[in-house]
Amino acid sequence: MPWTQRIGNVNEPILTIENLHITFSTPDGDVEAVKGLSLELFPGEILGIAGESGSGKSQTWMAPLGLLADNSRVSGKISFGGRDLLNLNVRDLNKVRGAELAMVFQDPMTSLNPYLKIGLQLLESIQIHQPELSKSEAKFRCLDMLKRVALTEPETRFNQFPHELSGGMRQRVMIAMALLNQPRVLIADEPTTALDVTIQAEILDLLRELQRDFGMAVVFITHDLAVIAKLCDRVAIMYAGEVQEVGVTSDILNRSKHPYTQSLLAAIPRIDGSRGEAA
Amino acid sequence: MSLLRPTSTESALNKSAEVLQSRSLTQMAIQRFLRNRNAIIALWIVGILLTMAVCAPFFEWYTGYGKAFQDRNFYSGQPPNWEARHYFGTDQNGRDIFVRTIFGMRISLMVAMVAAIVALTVGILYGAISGLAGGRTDAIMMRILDLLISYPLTLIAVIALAYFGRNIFIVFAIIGLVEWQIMARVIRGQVLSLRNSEFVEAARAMGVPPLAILRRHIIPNVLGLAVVYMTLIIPEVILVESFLGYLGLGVQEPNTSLGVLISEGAARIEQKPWFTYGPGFFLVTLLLALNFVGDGLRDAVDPKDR
Repeated sequence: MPWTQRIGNVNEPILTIENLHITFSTPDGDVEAVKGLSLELFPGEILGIAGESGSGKSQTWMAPLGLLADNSRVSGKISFGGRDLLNLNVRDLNKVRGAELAMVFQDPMTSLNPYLKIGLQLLESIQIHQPELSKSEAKFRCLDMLKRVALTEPETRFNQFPHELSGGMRQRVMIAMALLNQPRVLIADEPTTALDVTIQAEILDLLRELQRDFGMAVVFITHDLAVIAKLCDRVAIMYAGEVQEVGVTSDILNRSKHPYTQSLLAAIPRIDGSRGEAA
Repeated sequence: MSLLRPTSTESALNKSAEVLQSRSLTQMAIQRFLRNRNAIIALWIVGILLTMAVCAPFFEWYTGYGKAFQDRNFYSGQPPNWEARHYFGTDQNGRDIFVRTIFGMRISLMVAMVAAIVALTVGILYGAISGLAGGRTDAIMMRILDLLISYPLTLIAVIALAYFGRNIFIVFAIIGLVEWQIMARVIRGQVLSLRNSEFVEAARAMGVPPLAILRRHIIPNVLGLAVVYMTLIIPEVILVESFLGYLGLGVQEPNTSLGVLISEGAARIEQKPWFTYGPGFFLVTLLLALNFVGDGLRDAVDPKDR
């Protein structure tokens, strides 16, 4: 199916976050990580989420998947496909996550179960959401997806264990696993941070290509503005649990008048050794 | 989607399976264990002792155990005599000490295995539930464990024996029920760290239901550790049983255990020292070998070594 058909109405958001608050209760008192955040994700776009560590960028996107820690309290609304993801019980949430809403994590070295073969882990995610598929059909789809993420020798990898693969290969496996059920939204939480620069570029190209092919919306969380510039259609700049600025990437990166965005851009080290000027 | 037919991938799979030498973590652990020479020698010794224990009736027949027992006036309390096939000598009642030692080892090993299985089952269940539940449930379960651990084992054993009578199965159960506590703690710690590990989080993000996460992602990662602790519990249990036997609280006549034999011998160590030599040698060898096997397994399973 061409991606233009899958996307649907581009002007209507596929996922809407309204007034999201996330608070963690710690022994030292409550910490509010996300303070009334509102954001819209449109079909078929790549939305970059940029911000420093602790700005709440990861926690914001853990919330729709129900992955927040036990000591957290959430309020607000996350609408996705006519449902409020914050009000679903685990059982209903399990039908959404992995199927319509998938995630790629930061560290591919620890995101795969060390005791299960790659193939079994891929099969697990396909069998949970599409139990009607026969085993050979499921396996065929896994192998096909491994080819799509440009993993060399997919048949061999299928029968290997995670520790036999390099970091870049594992991240390809993680991406393949996330895409197996053709989700409408993919959340990528710093998927290239743990990889070296050449592999990082390859993975970014791959994500862009897959996003076009599958016509899904991608949320790309990163602290790297260069990655945002390369990849994202729109970008949201986060600081202290709030969105400071949202807009088309080139506008934000080139013409931003927002002081935090300007200081963030100024913080990028340059090869000539001169420092940008913060406003 | 690709145009490849499933059949062609199937055949490609079969072809690559022949070339491929993929090893799981378990296989790698076994390989590491096999390379550990001390552990392998210890494993052989345990194997030989185990075979001897299983074949105990053969030794009974070979040494003429019964015959000597009937003619007790002539045979009682004789020092080791290789020609008469009394390798460790005979006891007060004219019974061959070598045969008694083998039978005693049999009982000791049985006690240890039953106790280890009890400890493994209860420990894994308790530890896994506590670790998975977390929060208040976890705290309460751990305090109960603290309470149990603070009771001295000997006291519990004496009270239980006074209450239930001197039944060897009660001894099994008590020892197993005491030893599971450490196992439960170890398993709980492991489950707790696994619960928050990234691959479990990834599985949750994938929509895997909680029970499937437990079965497919947590238990396989805990089993190696559990087996290691089981091999380390076995020698400990043998020691505890021997200690109870030494206090006269263990196995009753005509059955015997290594601890009972040593305690009987200790009473006459000045006149007839060979009463303790055989059982003592077997006990030390068995414990040493079992500990070496356990240590070898622990080194093999330890993921830091990877």
